[in-house]
Amino acid sequence: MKVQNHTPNLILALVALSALAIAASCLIGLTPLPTGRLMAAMVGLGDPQAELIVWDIRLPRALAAFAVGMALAGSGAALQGLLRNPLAEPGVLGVSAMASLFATITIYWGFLQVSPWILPLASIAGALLATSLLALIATRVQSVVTLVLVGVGISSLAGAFMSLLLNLAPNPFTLSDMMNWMMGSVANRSLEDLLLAAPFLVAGAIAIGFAAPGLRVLTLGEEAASSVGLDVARSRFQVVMGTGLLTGAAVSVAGAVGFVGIIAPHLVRPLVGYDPARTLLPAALLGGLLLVVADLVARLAPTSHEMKLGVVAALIGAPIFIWIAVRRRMLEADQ
Amino acid sequence: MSLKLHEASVTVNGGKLLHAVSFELTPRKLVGLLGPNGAGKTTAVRALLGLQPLNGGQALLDGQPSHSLTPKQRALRVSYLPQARKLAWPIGVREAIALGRFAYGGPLGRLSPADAAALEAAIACCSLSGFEDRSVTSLSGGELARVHLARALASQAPALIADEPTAALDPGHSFDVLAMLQAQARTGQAVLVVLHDLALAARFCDEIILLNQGKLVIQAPPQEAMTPAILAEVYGVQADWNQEQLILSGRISV
Repeated sequence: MKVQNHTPNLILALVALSALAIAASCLIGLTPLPTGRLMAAMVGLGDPQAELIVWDIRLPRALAAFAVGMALAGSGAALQGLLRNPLAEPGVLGVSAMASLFATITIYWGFLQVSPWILPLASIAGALLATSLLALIATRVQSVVTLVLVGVGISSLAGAFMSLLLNLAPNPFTLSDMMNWMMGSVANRSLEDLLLAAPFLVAGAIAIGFAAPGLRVLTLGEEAASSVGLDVARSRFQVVMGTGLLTGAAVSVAGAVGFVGIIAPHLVRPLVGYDPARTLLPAALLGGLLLVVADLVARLAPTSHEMKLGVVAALIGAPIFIWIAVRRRMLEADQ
Repeated sequence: MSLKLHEASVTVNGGKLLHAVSFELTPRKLVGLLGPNGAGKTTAVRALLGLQPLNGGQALLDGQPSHSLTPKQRALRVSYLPQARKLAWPIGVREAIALGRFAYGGPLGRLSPADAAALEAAIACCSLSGFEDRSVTSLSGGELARVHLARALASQAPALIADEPTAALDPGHSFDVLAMLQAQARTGQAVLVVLHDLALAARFCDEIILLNQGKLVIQAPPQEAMTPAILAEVYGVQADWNQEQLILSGRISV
């Protein structure tokens, strides 16, 4: 079996496709407007109504979907590199669930009135709690299966607290707000919402960038990685911080959107020669692209209520997760 | 380059894994670390490298305490092949070997001319030409063992420690690996190899370090270290020397 490496072309193709998908998101929608008027609005020459729809409604939404997809898929690729398991992902490991639990708590007790920064900070605190816990346990147990089970446990615990909050919700408004975080959606996001998350997304991406060479070396396993000169503890810290920041910030924008962190790296890997470092950027771009398209599907699907982005992602993602898990077992049985 | 374990003791969960063990490795010698299962061979190697905290004694690399070195400083002094060698992802052979140059700190994916030269030399030395673009998971056990060895050679550290590099290899490939390690020692490296095969150790090693139940039995040339009496006591096997060859003839019934 030969190893293929098409990383530069793959990145170019994904950037082009993402730009196309975001443009399409601005042009297509429930309010039927002629494409010409919208095109004009996109370059700043349109009428006020078209400009409002493009710049204040559709573009922020598409950018939010793209940023969230990039953050989650990048986190997934980094966690998979660190834990050396293609099934590791913020959703599966309970990182997103913890982040959305913390976000929900701030909404529930009305902390949001204090400062808009509370929401991203709380989500990030939740995500960091989960990633730190996982990294701590990962140093003690060698089995990745155990680790994934711990993640499932964290996820269930966060889910249980979430249900408790829903159960005790004081009024229907709080209830519907909270449902948004649980299901995951980028509807009605403004550019301001995105700007609040942006610094954390950038910081997380930088942390993951520093961790990248270490992730490549970790292919050898921790002991051998350390023997060729990698400070494994530092790599672990970088990935824990990076994925905590990225996932937390993504959840503060869109709530919990699962599985994109598993699908995007999985599809990209064969094209970059399975190198965990080279997987990062293309996986993030593909994650962004997938969520922009999924959001378009959610908006255009002929359902009585608009589907939530997280629901669409899970409907597509969960079967693929099962498929990867089964195939992996078969591969291990071969060896 | 000198690697030295001085009166090293290791206790884990109340169990004494190493008991005041001292030995020293010197350049140009292929040294075999032998002992029955659970004798403390891997613990001794990890202690020497500073990967295993000591409860007593010292581990010194070039006169410096091993545990005080950063992973990078350690990698530049000793290249180490641990026992577990399954790779997590099916990366290419050339990239797997290039990981051995990590400590030299070239930016991600870019090899300096020195890195590239070391890489090519390691590939040639382990006869892996033609395998460069193969995926590591598509290799046979013997080929994979050569890839790991090449990765260790690529680092060009003055010392090399390999923990059971011949595990899961057939006799032919085991000979190849030992011959390569011997050749490395002849170029001036200090080489330590953990082995289970006594005859193989007798055939290739310049010196034997024999451990039993966490204690050093002897450090000496093969003929002195593996006398029939010592092997009977440590391993419970009947062994005899026939000129340069060690012949094992069976278990001594108790």
